[in-house]
Amino acid sequence: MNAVDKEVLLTEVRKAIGTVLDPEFGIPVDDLGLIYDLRIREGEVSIQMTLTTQHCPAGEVIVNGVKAAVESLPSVRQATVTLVWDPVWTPNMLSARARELLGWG
Amino acid sequence: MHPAAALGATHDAKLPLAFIAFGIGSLAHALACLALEPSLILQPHISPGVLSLVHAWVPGFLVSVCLGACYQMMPVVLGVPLACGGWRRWAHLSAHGVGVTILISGFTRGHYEWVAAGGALVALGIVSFAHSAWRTFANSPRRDAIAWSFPISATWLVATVVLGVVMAVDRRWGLMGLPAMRLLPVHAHIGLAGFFLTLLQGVAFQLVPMFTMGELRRPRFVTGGLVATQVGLVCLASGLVFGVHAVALFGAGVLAGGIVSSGVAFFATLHSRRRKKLEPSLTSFAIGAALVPVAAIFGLILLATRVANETPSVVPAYGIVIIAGALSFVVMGMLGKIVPFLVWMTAYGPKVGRQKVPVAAALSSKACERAWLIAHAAGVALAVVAAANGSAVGARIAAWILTAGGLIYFWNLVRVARHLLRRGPFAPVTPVFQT
Repeated sequence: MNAVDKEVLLTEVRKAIGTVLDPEFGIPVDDLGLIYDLRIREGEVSIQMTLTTQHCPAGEVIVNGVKAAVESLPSVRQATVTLVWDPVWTPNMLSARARELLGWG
Repeated sequence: MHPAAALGATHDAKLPLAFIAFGIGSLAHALACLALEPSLILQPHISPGVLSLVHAWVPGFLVSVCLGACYQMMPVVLGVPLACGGWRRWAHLSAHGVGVTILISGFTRGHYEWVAAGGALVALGIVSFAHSAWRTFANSPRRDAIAWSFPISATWLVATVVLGVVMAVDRRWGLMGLPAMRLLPVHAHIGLAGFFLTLLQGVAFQLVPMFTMGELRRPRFVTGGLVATQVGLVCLASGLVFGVHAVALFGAGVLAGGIVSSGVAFFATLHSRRRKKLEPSLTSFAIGAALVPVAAIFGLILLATRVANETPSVVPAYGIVIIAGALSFVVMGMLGKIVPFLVWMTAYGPKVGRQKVPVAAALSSKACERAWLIAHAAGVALAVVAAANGSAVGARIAAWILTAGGLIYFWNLVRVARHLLRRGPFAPVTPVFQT
């Protein structure tokens, strides 16, 4: 996979992740700042992500949703989602769009 | 905490939804009784009709909903699986449902052997619940006020139900000659403050930041509030049982201090929210929380003065402020967030990332939530005024407004629950966790 193809796939993966919304706030998980790292190697995608709280009751659904959304792309063979708590998520990680949606702009 | 712990602890939403459904059925029964006999608002708190109504509303509705919510939240908040098997949780629901039904029928017909039998079944379930709460808590590494609120509130609930059963046995067979009029306020206050307030003083600080994207503020006030409530309640209950007025008054004062301490932390936490606009459900929760200190001041006045003896009609008004006011606003507000979430998890959770799904909040109609909130607030305010003044017309209008609000509330929940019928196939995928 050349650099251009990799960049195109990266954009597709980000777009797919953007379809997964937090069920309470209706904001895409990437806008919430939950995606910490994204790597692609030979059609295999590895994602490091967190949750807004360790006690998030929708955590399993969100994590599984990210994996499913990425694996739905034809050019992705497998996606691995790794859940991390370091660094701890804070509201400062929200994107400008997320802040606007929350009325916090 | 291991990264997987937060996820591995979650479980099926069917049991919490079943407890909630039973609770909603009990509320419907209570509101139907009130609509058919509005004079219940004016009757003395020891009359059979009022006892039946109060037990349909409190153990039937409020306790059932809180039990369902606890079974859902305990493993999530404590970060470990529930320390009891699925069959035991379903057995608890069965015992609770049958027990509460017998209990309410017993009060309605004045058959105290039914009350004792129904109460004993409820107590069996509650003991099992408290055992699970303590064991789950023991397995958890979390030791803040939020975590402690689960086992402590469960213990108060055991004490409340056991005392209730003992009182019913004594009333029916007169074996012990207990001072029922002295024990009744103890039974009521250890239930209302011991179970509901203790739970609220913990769980509110988990739920409010979660639903508003805020953060816990003033954690020392949270701990202080919980501790003061426990100390105050022990003194209040001891003072009432042994008839030592000064001890009861001191306990009520400390309890009120605990409520103020938690209130300071609650409104500071609410103020930290990133989602600026409060939805009707969260507004209801906040109104309920604000009514708790009002109820505490009301109770202090009743205890410190002779108002209750000179004007007995203020006692039902006090009960309405606590039960239909503070606690119902909190619990019904919480339900307005929890039910759409549990239904969403069951109906749409498995489809996330595979197809477009609605957000949980969209399942509930905000217009219905607002209409219920206005009707319930108006109904409670009118019921308090009518009870205090002994107004039959006011009581009738208040009962009808409360029932109308209840119908709107039920209709909205039915609309939410209809999404369960739209379930599709589930293909699970398992994430990998970093150790």
